[in-house]
Amino acid sequence: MRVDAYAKATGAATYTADIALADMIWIGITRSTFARATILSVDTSEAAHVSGVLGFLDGSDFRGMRYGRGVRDVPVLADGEVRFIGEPIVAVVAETREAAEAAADLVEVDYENVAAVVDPSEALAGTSDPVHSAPWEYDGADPTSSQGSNLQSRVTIGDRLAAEEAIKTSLHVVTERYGTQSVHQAYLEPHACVARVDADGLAHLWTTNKSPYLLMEQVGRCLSIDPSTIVVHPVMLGGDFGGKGSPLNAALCIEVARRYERPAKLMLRYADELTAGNPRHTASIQVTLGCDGEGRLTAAILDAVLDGGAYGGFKFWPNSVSGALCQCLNSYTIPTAYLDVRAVYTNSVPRGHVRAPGMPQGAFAVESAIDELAVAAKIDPLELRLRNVLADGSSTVSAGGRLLESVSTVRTDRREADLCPSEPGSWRIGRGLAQFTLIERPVKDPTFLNMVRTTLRMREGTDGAVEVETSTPETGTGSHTVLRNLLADALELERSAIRIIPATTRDLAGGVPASASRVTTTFAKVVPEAAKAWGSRGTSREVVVDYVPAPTVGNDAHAHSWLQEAVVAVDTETGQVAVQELTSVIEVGMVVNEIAHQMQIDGASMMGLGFCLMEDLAVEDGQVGAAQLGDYKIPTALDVPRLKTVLVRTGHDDRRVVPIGESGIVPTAAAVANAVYDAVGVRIRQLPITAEKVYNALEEGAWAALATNQ
Amino acid sequence: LRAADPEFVRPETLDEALEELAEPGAMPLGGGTSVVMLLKNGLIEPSKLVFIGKLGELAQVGESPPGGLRLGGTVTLRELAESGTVRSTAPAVVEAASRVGNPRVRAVATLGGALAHGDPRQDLPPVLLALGATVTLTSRTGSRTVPLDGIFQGFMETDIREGEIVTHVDVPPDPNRRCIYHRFTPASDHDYPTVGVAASMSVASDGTVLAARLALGGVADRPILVSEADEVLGGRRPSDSDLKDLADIVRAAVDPIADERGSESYKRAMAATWTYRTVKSCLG
Repeated sequence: MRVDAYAKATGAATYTADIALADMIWIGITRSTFARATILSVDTSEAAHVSGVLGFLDGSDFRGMRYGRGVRDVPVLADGEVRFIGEPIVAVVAETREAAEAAADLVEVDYENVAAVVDPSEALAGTSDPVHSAPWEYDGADPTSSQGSNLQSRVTIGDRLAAEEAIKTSLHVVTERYGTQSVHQAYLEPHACVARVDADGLAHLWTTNKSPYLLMEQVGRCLSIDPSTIVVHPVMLGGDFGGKGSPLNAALCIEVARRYERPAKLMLRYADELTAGNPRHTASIQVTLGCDGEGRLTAAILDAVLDGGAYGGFKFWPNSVSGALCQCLNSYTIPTAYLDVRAVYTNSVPRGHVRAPGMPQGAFAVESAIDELAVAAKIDPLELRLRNVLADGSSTVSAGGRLLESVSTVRTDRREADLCPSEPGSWRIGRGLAQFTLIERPVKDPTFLNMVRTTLRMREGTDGAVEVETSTPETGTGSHTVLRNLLADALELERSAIRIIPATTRDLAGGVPASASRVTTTFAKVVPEAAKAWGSRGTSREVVVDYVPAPTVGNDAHAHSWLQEAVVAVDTETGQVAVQELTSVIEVGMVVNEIAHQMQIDGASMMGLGFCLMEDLAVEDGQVGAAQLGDYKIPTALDVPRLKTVLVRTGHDDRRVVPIGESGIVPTAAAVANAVYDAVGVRIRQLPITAEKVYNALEEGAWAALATNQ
Repeated sequence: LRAADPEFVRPETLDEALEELAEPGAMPLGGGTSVVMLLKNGLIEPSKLVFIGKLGELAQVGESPPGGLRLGGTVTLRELAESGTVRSTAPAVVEAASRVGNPRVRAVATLGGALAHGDPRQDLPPVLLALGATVTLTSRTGSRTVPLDGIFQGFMETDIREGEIVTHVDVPPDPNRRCIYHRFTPASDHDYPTVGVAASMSVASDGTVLAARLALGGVADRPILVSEADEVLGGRRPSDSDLKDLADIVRAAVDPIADERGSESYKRAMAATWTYRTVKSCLG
């Protein structure tokens, strides 16, 4: 059983929402109703009459203070200007949540509207006033002033001229632009934060954040206080999916708690989550691929523009999403490639990280383009991939070819009779493939290595159990269960003989953040050391293990690959796409917890299908359309197709743990898009693939066919 | 809840409930699945909520008159979905009731609420319209029984007046009835339908359609009854071209509102396609 199962099933688990401290006050937020405006005045007189209201804070209380994960460009409260609809302007402090929220609605803000920058390509062209006057001056900024005014980051790889030259001489060439929409992480638990500041200056935080030690740094730098005076307390997280890595309201809560000398709490409503969270980057990606007469890739050019929204500070680094997107060509050996990925500022909700940031966008574009090239070259899409798959070479360890070879077995095992829906419809069946290869390059940067510093304190409990303190948050993925199971195996104890104790950041020097598929891989390295230390503890009742990974030796890059094949039924009369089966073929190492591992594959696959078929956090003129989860559809249990999994061992190192959490979501959309093409000959290049888009394309096609016949 | 919480009362009998509801600003609460959402979004501000969800007088499912149905206003969707009587008399009601929301919603959401909410995307209204149901509305001053068709007046607007509640819905008997409901949810199964089509046909043993009723949800500001259905299909054994004619009439008759479930033109096209499919399977 999972470590957290009993507490969650009985309601005993403590989430931030459950934290109620004595004498606690509440914060409500007045948010911008303009995508871009200058704030002329703020009138709190009516709001102040709400019973229980204690006071107000605005941007003038945080002048010059900005927060961010990488670049510090996010004001705590708007700094005289608003840059997206939903941006916090005023914090209302009150005795109750109800009073704080009611008063926040009554705060009158007088704006002077300014033309908003809503289109990313226009933002790049620099035709309107920049979103930020000098974004390169922000601490941690990626671009320089010479790179243009709305750039959050730019990643370029390769030689443009050489790639263009190689394309010119290629026998078959496709150039297409693909678009992907923004989606929300859609975790159940909205952001929340409780802060308490002791008389001695120590600031305590209980909050929906998965990287507590980084949070201390981020908040400390924002408020100009010593990070070591911030204590992050352990709470359960109700889902993360990449969205809970930023400080968001932590600095505000600490400041309110300090001023009022009472603990302060803020809980977002889901409407706030949708309009002012940190959803996935909207992307527009042009891909050019060329191949020779044998279907060997000759060159690739990828040009991507990511809508980063009003602030870049929700990204781990300004270029983290752009850089990850560049991985989407890894599956292939391509003689000449050029990639140019830019994230830009616009007056819309700031974008952040969502499970496998950047990768589903890139994979949708590249893996769709590969199939389009296969059509142009009249080669089967699987065969085209087999001819170009990344070789298992001297500096890159890869099993991509073996995955592709297993596809024929997957197909042989499939029962075609199972694949037609029973519902009325004029169904055509199609199948589509897509793959992805993540390359882990050697890590030598000490700052980065220190981020995964992980401390465990182990002691003998009075009942004989081994008690283990960890400050790595449990986001819902089962990270504490992984730690317990690994320890039980290493110590050769029953799982019930290990007790996981969540600890504060003050109790322990480090705890790997629950991000970037790093928890299980890190625990797998810490646990052998912990077991060794425990075994040789002698008479001492307590052992502290402090692990900081050593810089990678050598220059070998590890690739791990995965692919998906989707089988879809398309109703030619309605355009409905019914996914009948989704098979994931995944390269794995040692699987620590088989059930949790499978759940990560299945859950990510469903998130991938949501991204592909229905989720759409549409932003129009800077306004997020969805005001509640009822307006923002994600797949449910009723939408789960037949899910199949084939695990392929890496073969290189049996003890190596390969991350799984982000795999399943990446190739799904392209696999389905390719299957839709296979079924009805319609190519959808803009996600989500709605029935209406397919229907319209079919209608146009029918019209074209009719015109040709006449 | 943001505004001042309304008073919550729990009367023991229907008469007590009607007395409470006679007070201006009072609103009935059945399962609460719609009312609570409207409250949370600040769209309604009742001074008093009168809980009628457990009034036994309104919770009956009966076969009366024989061959017909009398469904109490607080019968839950789950009870409808699980009722053998309903299944044998009007299986389309089961199909619609079993597809609304999720098990948590169906366990408490009521028939009366599904009608009173006036949401054009609801599944039960088109089915009951097609079945020719009447609704009985009761207030402290008396009862009135009206055809269901007259109740729906616009988006979330009904002719149910202050102080009235849905006491029951009657489905008339018809030994020759075939009824069917199709809901088209192309993105998530767990969503409001892009279009829902209900057909109820009285069919003689030789295949002649004695009477035909067709209703659609999701394609106008209210559920709509297509009155031309009987002219096109009635008194004959409908041909494929009759079905296509009816689909064309529907295409012109609907007035869809564009949203994330489809544009106006797509919903129009789907209303026609699913009309054809639904009538065909109803007669098939």
